Parts: sequence; structure tokens; C-alpha cells
Amino acid sequence: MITFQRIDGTPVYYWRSSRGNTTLRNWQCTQAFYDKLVLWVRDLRSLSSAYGSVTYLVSAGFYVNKPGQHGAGTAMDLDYVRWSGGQVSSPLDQHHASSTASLRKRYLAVDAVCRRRFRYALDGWYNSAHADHIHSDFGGLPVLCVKSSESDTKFVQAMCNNFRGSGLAVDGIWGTNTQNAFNGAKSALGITGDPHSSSAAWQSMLSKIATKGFANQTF
Amino acid sequence: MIGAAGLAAVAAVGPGAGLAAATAEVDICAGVAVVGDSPQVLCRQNSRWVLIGDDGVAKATTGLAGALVLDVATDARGALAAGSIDGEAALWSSADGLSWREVLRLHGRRSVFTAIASNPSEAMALGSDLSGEDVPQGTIAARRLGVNWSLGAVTGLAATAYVTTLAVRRGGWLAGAIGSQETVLHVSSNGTTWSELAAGRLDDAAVQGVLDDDGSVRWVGNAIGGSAALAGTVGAGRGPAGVPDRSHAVGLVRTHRGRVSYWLLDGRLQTAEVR
Ligand SMILES: [Zn+2]
Repeated sequence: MITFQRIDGTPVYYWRSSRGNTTLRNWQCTQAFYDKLVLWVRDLRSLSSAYGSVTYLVSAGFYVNKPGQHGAGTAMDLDYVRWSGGQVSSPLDQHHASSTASLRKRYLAVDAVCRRRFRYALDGWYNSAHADHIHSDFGGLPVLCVKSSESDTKFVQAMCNNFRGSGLAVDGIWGTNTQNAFNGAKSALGITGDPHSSSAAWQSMLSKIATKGFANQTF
Repeated sequence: MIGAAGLAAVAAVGPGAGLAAATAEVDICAGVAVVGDSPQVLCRQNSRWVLIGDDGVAKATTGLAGALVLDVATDARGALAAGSIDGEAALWSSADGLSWREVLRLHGRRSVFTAIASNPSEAMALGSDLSGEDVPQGTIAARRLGVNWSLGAVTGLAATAYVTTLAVRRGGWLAGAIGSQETVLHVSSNGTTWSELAAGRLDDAAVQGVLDDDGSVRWVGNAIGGSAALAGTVGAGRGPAGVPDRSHAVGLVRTHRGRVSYWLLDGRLQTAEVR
């Protein structure tokens, strides 16, 4: 494993013990996971460039001494993103359930950026254990939109509700209503190709969702 | 928490270990247990499980091929191991720590045992059912009373937390369950109903070993924010563990030398006394 304090130059803080703390932490993860984090933060910067630069990130852990992907050094828990324009996105404050629609769309934008690089992105809709962070790991790759996946399906349902007013139950079950809403979103975003079988098509759709989310636009 | 001693580079010996393994680094360690009369660490080296004693010599094991082992325990009959195989929770038993046989497997169930311990009359393992995305979604428990293992229900442990450590204490059991920001130590007198230990919420700590000496609970682990090596006593603070900060906690055992913590650093085992 390698030790890092910044991802591609962007500092990563830890706030779970003391909110607002800016002490740099010696995080660990594998080299391969760090390389993916660099691609992820570059996606984040370019898709949210209207907010300025990403000033800092806040995490609840990368390598964590426990079973699973964290223990292998191949996972990230994302608590907070802060931009130089003053904008923030705070999974830590449960922005997925915020009463402010723009914050929910921004959360979904950050979520979509995670999904461009990581297949298992577990968010506030996934379960209560992820209500206060977005978890991303190396499981289940390559990135695709998988209908039998609870995580992917809940993301699609929450996305359709927040950007298109689809009124779906966020239950993780891919039924007819979810399929129709997904088809509508795909067509509104001009996606060609099949996000269920083509990583490029799914990544392209996620980029467009992120762009709309950061711009606080419905589609 | 002084007296770090690096163990010699592990050298593989035993049937079929081969020269290639002789210089291989350990990638993960399941845990440490006293087998016979000395501490032994079960580690994975070149995809094979080996047993490493205090002399640093790695001995090949049998019966664990393809397994993911996450914890080991001292047992009156030798040693016990907990983990999974092919994504299904499993337990193994061994008289000598080298030759293992499967004693329980949850066929058809996406699950893992993550902690195991035994006292003179029974043994217990705790673990999790896993979601489709491989995160915990329910606690599983197995007990051995007599010779046979059986599953049972437990209450009081968070369904979404991994139990990373389990130990015997006077009059019951002590378990550490990790969520996203802390390890919560729980106690149980019957192994079924669990409650939080007073002052047992260890913020920013991923605990991998606990020892209860008549109510004084020592623990070792790593920070969650960053992963600094830590040793602490419940209700009395924490500090550096006496090993390099980047070391990953493997476990904590009581030996004739006192309380000894085991750590993995860059593929090599380290030890440190815990006072
Ligand atoms: Zn996580």
C-alpha cells in the first residue's frame, strides 16, 4: 500500500472526530486504487469546473483495518467536497435527502462521478449505513448499469425522480416504471449505445447526469 | 507499549513450499493465537496460508486452499479459524495450526465469519450476511457446545457493522463491531444478547485485538482517519503502538512474555509489548 495526504494535489481531510479539521492525514490505499482516485478527481474537476477548483475533500476512510474492500485498501468513503467558488456537496450532512433540490442534484452529480470509475458506489439511498457518506470500491467492475444491482437501480430511481420528477419508489427493484423512466432519461440526454452492456455508454450518461446536476438543471 | 521487535523475514518451509515462496512477503494476516505454548500468526503468502511463529519461520498449512481467513483463536483442541470460501462463511479447526479441516460452511449464503474465540466449554464465531455489493447487512453467529457447531440468533449488534474481534472475558464475551467512524465494544454473558461496554465507543479506531484482564480492556488497532497504529485501554486513552505508524494491527495475545501485539508492515510481522 501507499501513503498519501492528497489526491492528485487536492488535500483530503478527516472530520468525523472534529468537523472543519484541516490536519493532513496519512491515508493508505493500494497504488492501483490511488491511480483510479486520480482519474476520479480529474473527472470531478472537469465536470464541475463552473464551481472553480476542488479546494479539498473530506473522507471517512480509504484503507481501514476491517474486512472487505476497505481492508484491502481498495475503497473510499467520501464525506464532503468543497469548491473554490464556495459550493459544497456534503454526503456527511445527508444532502441526498436535503429539502433543497439543488443540493440533491449536486449530490447525485458527485455520485455519478463516483460511478464513472467505480461500480459499487453505495450512497444515501442504498442503506442507512451509507446515509452520511458515499462509499466507492473496486468490486463488481467494469462500470455498467446493472438492473439486478440494488445500488445501481436505486441510483437510477433517485436520479429519475430528482431530474425528471418520475415519482418512482426508490426500492432497488428494476420494474416497468423504472425501465420507462430510464428510457426517458437516456433519450433526453441523447445517449446512444446500451449503458447495461457498454461501459462507454454508461460513463457518457453519468457525465451528462453530473453536468446537469452541477448546473442545477432538470432534463 | 514499548519494545517493538521486527521478526526475521519470513522464510517458507514445509511440503511443497518451494524456493519461490522463500522470499515472498506476507499480504494479509488473519490473526494470532497461542497454539501449543507459543503465539502463531496465520498469514497469506503467495496465495497460500502459512503459520509463522516467533522464530519468523513460515510453515505451510493444509486445508485452507482458496479460503479467505479473517480471524484465528486459541482452542482447547488446538486452534480455530473463521472466514469464507467461495463467498460463503466458513469455520475451520486444527489440532496443530498446520493441518486444518472445515467444520462449518453456510452453503448458498453470501456471508463471512469475521471473528472467533473459545473458552474451556464452548466456542463462538460472529460474522455477517453480505449484500449484493458485499457489505454487511445482518449479523450471523455460530456456537460450538460439545462437538457440533450450530447457528443461532444474536441481538444488540448492528446489522451493518463488521465484528472484527472477539475475546473471552470473565463471565462472558467481548466483541468489537466497526461502523464507518468507530469501533463499538460490546459484552455478552450468554453470547446471544449483546450490550455496549461502558466507555467502549472507540472513535476513529478500527480495532483488531482486545484483551480483558479482569475489567481492564486493552485494545490494538488502526485509526480510521489516516491509519496510524494505535494501542489503548478502554476508559484510559490511547497512544502510538510502539511500531511504525503504517503498521496494520493483526491481533493481541497474552503470552508468558506478557501482552504482545502483532502487526504487519510492508509484508513483515512486527511485535510490540502492550503494557
Ligand atoms: Zn466504505
